[in-house]
Amino acid sequence: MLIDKLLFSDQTPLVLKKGLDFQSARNLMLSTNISNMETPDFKAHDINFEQQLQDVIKNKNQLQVRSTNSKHLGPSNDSLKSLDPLPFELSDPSKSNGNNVNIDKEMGKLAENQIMYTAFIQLMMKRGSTVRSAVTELPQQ
Amino acid sequence: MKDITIQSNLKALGGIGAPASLGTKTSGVGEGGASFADTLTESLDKVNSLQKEADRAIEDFATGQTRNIHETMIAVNKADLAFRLTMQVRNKIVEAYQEVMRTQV
Repeated sequence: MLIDKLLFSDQTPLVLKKGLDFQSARNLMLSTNISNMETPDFKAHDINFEQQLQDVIKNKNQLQVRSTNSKHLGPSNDSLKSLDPLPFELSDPSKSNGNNVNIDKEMGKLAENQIMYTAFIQLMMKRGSTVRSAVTELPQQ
Repeated sequence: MKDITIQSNLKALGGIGAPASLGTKTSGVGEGGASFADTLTESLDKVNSLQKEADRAIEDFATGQTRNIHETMIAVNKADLAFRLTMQVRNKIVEAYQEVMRTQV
């Protein structure tokens, strides 16, 4: 599709979208950790989305795909699109009931995650408004 | 963002605007100064590179390679501002061209 190629083939918006996906999943996970802070034998989970994104982007840049025809759509973003959160268990020492949730740590992570989420949304809006201004030719907005 | 067509068009523009063989020094162009087309091309290149820089900053921020939000925001804002300025300059140029074309001789 021409429109897909013109507007939605860039990597940066996709990275931002994936970042938001991951952060919302992480928010859920951190909330689960907090609400299970008294559950016996519960282990805290987390996601390292930055590392995952970095791995995918680096692998993509190593590939060096060249388009030999103007109709080619460039290197595909499929690996980025199909990226899923990979939760892992935290290795913090457990308490006597087998639970290893550290409430202060989780709260800190939750606050950080929220700030990052807002920052991502701001970046996305700013970038979108540049494209929109190119389309509408309005000086403001 | 492919600017091949823009550049070739600008070259054509420079060919008409600055008759190099017939003593540019006596005409409006200052000595040793870059022509208008060159300045324009340079500015467009700069805007393009600013946008690429902003994209790279966003990706670095998203992948955790840099931890400062402000630098990313500044890069994105710079690119946005430069692009809007370019767009307005382009609008003015087109406006001037249309004004000239409308003039009755």
